Amino acid sequence: MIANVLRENLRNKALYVITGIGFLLMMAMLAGQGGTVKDAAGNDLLKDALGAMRVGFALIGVLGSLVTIVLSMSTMPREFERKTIHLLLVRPVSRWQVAGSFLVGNILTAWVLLLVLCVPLFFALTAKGAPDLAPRIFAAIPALALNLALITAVTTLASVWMPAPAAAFVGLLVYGFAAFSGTLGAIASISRESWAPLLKLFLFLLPPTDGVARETLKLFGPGAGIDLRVYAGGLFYLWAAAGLVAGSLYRREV
Amino acid sequence: MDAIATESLARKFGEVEALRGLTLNVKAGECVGLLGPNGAGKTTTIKLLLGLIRPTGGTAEVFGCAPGHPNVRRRVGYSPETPHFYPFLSARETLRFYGKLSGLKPAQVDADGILRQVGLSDAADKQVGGFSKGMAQRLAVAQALVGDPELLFLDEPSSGLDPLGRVEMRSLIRQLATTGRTILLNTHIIADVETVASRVIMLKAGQLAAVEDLTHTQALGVTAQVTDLKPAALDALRAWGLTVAYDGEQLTLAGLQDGQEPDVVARLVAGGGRIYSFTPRRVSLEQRFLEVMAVGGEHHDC
Repeated sequence: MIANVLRENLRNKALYVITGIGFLLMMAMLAGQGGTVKDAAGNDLLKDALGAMRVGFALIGVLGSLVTIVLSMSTMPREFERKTIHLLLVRPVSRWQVAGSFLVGNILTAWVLLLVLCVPLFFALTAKGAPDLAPRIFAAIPALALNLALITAVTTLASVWMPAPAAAFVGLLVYGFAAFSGTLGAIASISRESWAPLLKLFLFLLPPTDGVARETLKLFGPGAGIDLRVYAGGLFYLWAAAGLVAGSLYRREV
Repeated sequence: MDAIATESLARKFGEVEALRGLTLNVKAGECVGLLGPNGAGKTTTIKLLLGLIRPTGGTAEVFGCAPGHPNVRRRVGYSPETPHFYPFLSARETLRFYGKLSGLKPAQVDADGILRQVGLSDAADKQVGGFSKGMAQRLAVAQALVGDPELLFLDEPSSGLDPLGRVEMRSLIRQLATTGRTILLNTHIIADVETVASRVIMLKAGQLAAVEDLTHTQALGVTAQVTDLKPAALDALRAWGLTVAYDGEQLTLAGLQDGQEPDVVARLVAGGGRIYSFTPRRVSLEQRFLEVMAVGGEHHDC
């Protein structure tokens, strides 16, 4: 079933459009002379390899999330709409397995496209004369994959209960809030307003993509240690979200 | 043994009562038709029996277990009304895929045999995405046969088939019925039910409207002009198992066996009746269906 989800997802032309545009954009920006990206201090990040990697990972985070939301928003609603889910659920296979297969299929598709989007990073390292940094990219890929899996899980969960566009909106919203969770968390911790605890609870429920991204970027920064507990938290969140997807399909009537 | 048994089965969607107190039994090995206009509750009944939705009242059992129980799902095949399949798989791969979901290894799925049975041998290696509606319908029945299930739910299996295809589909269902399988056939095509089913369940507005034994329904009926008939004569006719309606002038009888007409006439005369006309007629399922839908029907047996 996972293979079928993967094959069906890979027939989605929108994925190739987004991935293709992202690939070309990254090639132009990172490996070519495609403009400047300045940090808060006004330094051009694209000038050196480490800075280019930071920009590259940020781009992959955005593009990859967009791709995975486009993928995950429609997999389950499509099954409900054309009623192919009926033919699966009348078989002696548990709903947990069916839900798990859809989720894993979506995650695997996102990972295939993630690998495609990582190719410009290697070209960038060669162009910037720092091919010795390649192993750091390999080390960072699992973390990027974890972040994409988290967004996939949230969007898939939403898609069990709502139509594809609404699920995509939820996915984008969660991705957006999660990206700014650091800033929002700081506001919540210093605020004495009555909504501050609610904001903290809301942030607690968001996937820890921001934390995972920050820890991963340390691979390309000046020698700070990586906190593996953040990754463990991400994996736990993924496990819980997968459980909710399965539980939702178990409860949902088709 | 009952393959399907429901007791006061009910299902509401919001304020809409899609099914109201449905009580029915389908015996193992029976081929039963499910008839009713749109919105009668046929699809809801099938979904409840497959465990795809849950009842809001009453109970349902399939092979003595709750619908949707894994043990039940191993013994059930389902052919949907509007089938969709993964377009990139061939017909053979599709059957193997559903076989795998049923816990069968590829070698255990007689894909070629099943495709031959439904008339899709030539399309075994074609991608399903290029199938016509009729071919998809045949494949829907084919996938329902994977795993050799004892109970088949066939939802509009003739939908989208050309006249020749319909005849072939009827023949296939008749053949399946002779193998001892229980079949619940949901269709709008009355001729299909008449040809293949031994009993028909009629639903109207979410309720059981009638259950007809088709041998009984297709039996002889009589319309006669008779006066002065004594009540005892009517009781005697009922005791023969006939359905009797008499308004003092017109007598309507249903359920006669061939050759029983002279006995009926003799009974009417013995009961004091003066017969002005006596017209035997065949009651078609279509007539019976229209009668039931018009008046709300009656529950004969279940």
